[in-house]
Amino acid sequence: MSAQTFNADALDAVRGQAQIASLLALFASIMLIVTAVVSFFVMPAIEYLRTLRVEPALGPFWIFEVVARQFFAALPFFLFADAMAALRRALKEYGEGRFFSEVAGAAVSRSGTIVLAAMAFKTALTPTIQQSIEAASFSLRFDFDLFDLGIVAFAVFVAAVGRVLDAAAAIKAENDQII
Amino acid sequence: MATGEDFQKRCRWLAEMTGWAVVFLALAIVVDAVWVAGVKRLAGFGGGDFRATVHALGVEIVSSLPAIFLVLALRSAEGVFDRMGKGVIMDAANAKGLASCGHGVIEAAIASLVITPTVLGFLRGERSLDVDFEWTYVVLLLLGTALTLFADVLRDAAAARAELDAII
Repeated sequence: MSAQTFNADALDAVRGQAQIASLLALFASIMLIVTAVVSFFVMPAIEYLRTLRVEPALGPFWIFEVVARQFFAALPFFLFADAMAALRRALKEYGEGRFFSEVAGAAVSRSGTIVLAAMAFKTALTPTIQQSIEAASFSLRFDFDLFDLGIVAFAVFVAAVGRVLDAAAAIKAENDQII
Repeated sequence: MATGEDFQKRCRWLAEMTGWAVVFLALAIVVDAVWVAGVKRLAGFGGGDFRATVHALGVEIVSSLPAIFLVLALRSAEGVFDRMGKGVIMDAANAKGLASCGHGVIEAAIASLVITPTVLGFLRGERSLDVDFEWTYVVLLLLGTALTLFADVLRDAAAARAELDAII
């Protein structure tokens, strides 16, 4: 088997896997949004309509307070969904056989950056904002474990891989031009 | 292959940061496991029985399993950043590092989803398959899968680069 045939076979396999992964990314993206909307907005609203009870500690503008709190709690989920949508764009390119496209590189970079933003909200910004809303004054709060720190480092890596894929696309274009 | 000096500088910095993250996470895992087991032993958990200490240590290690896999993935990422920092982007070693990083991340996600909860349940005396479902783990699983695919493409790109260099 020549190197060229090997490459074609290997890339065909990648294409098939990318198509499946792209569908999974789409499913994950939709499910993340559905989960966030249901658990942070629909369920609390149903609970309120059922009991018509408001936390006594809340002020007259409680509805804004509650919506803001729920929104920031749901924000990491929405960002993760966006990251999956970006990843899907890259995987879709691969699934359609465009392995060396600038779109894929940019989408991967974007995906890594959005995961970073999601982790920033999940571990620091959302807990701080929620605590500040609750205490009615600014108070810093972090909520993370070892695993979260690992994910942050990994997201940085994914963003850098996007740049590498960009470089790969440029080299492939150069190669095609010469050949 | 030489790329922009800025990108290389950033990769060198990222390699250093990833290296520190690996050291910090590894230390944290070890200290956490030993600390919890030690404190339980000192507090007389299990009546000072040595087996109870080993059990506590085992539980901590199993709980840290996803983080351990992530550390291994980050170790591979550090190697990739390091080579990129030296200007080597498109080569088989980087593709291998990328694939290894992807596998580590997939293992971390699977450990979080199934292995750790099931083994912890087993250590509690339960005989069932437990799943700790969180969307973060699914995101991680997909990112890991994508990384292994990128590794395949990078391998092909490395072959294209070699072909190009041979022609030139």
